Amino acid sequence: MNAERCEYLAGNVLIEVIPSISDEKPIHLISGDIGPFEAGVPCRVPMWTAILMKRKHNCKVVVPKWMEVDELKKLLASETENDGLAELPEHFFEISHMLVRNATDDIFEVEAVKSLIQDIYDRRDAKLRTSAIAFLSQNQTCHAQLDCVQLLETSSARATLNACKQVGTLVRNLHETTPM
Amino acid sequence: MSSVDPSFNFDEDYEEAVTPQEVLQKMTTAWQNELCSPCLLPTQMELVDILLDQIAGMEEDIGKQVDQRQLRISVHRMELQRISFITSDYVRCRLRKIESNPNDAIETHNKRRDENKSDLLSEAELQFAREYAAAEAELFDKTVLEFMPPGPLKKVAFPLLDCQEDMVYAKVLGEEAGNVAVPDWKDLTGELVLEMEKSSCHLIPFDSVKEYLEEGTVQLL
Repeated sequence: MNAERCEYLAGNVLIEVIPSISDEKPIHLISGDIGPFEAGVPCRVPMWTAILMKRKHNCKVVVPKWMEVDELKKLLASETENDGLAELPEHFFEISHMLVRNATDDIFEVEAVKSLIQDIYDRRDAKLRTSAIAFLSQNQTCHAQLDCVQLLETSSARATLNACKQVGTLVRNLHETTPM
Repeated sequence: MSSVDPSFNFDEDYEEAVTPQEVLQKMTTAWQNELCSPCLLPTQMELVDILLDQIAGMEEDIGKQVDQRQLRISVHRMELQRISFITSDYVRCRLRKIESNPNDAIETHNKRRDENKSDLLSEAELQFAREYAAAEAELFDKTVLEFMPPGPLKKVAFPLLDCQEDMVYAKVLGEEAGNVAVPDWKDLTGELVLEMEKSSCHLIPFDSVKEYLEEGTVQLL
């Protein structure tokens, strides 16, 4: 599991687009039905379809509510106040990254959006880093709870799993070689 | 446009029909779990077979369409590429794990059969594991072992896979991820019992969540 595969999964999330073409017949995909499209009428499609249509200039993307500047400021505030991780929409970073890359013209105040998302990412990264170091520095418990962690973050933290395994082996060795 | 029947049985034991959407959903979950787990999980190859049939059917339909430049053709093609990716990646991941220790895979597969649990390997994977193990053994024989003196060296049948200390990130999907046993590092003869609530995420030893993973109550991250 890595960032590219996370982006693949994020592709399945539904998003609203405003098509600029019309098509009476719905598209019957294996994963569900899309459409019919009517120019100017909002329609929900998977992210991957939205990006495809956007690239062919067949639609405008409606940016999700949580990606507006005010909402992002609220998320950043809750991330700052909380000691633990704040709750974020699923595939928060992947979706925002895909939209900034492909639909820049549909995002209002795109520079502010980019910088807020970067701040949120940095806050969370710092929390995960310090807690990983704290966890690896102890040998009392082999369990930790990290609610609201994103798939993208756990994919980047696979090295921690290897390190935990080594600590586990050391604890086992300690136990087995300690005279009762 | 699609002439594919959306309802069919993929297992004689199931009485209700399963939709392609559900199969794709199950495949996505199985793929994510397989990528994130430290060892082989029970096979879900039936899902792969069903999806390959779906892809073949859909490709045939697309090929028959007159106007190949329409948006809908691109959308269909892209979806087929996405499904092909996920099935190939799933199989690639499993083959990589089998290749790293084929004898352990065969041994665990047989043990599960004896305990009446679901199969670890599909027929094709089992065949592959046997052939790979035989090829590897022959390679070692011809390049190294033949030249070694018969001496007092003891032969180890095959290296055992030790997943005991492997940790994973896990998320609880279902309501009842009741009492989960975790080794107590302060006293390795004992165990601690945890309650895992719905939607909570944990950094936890793989062994503790293995059964819940097979049931579907827990998903790996």
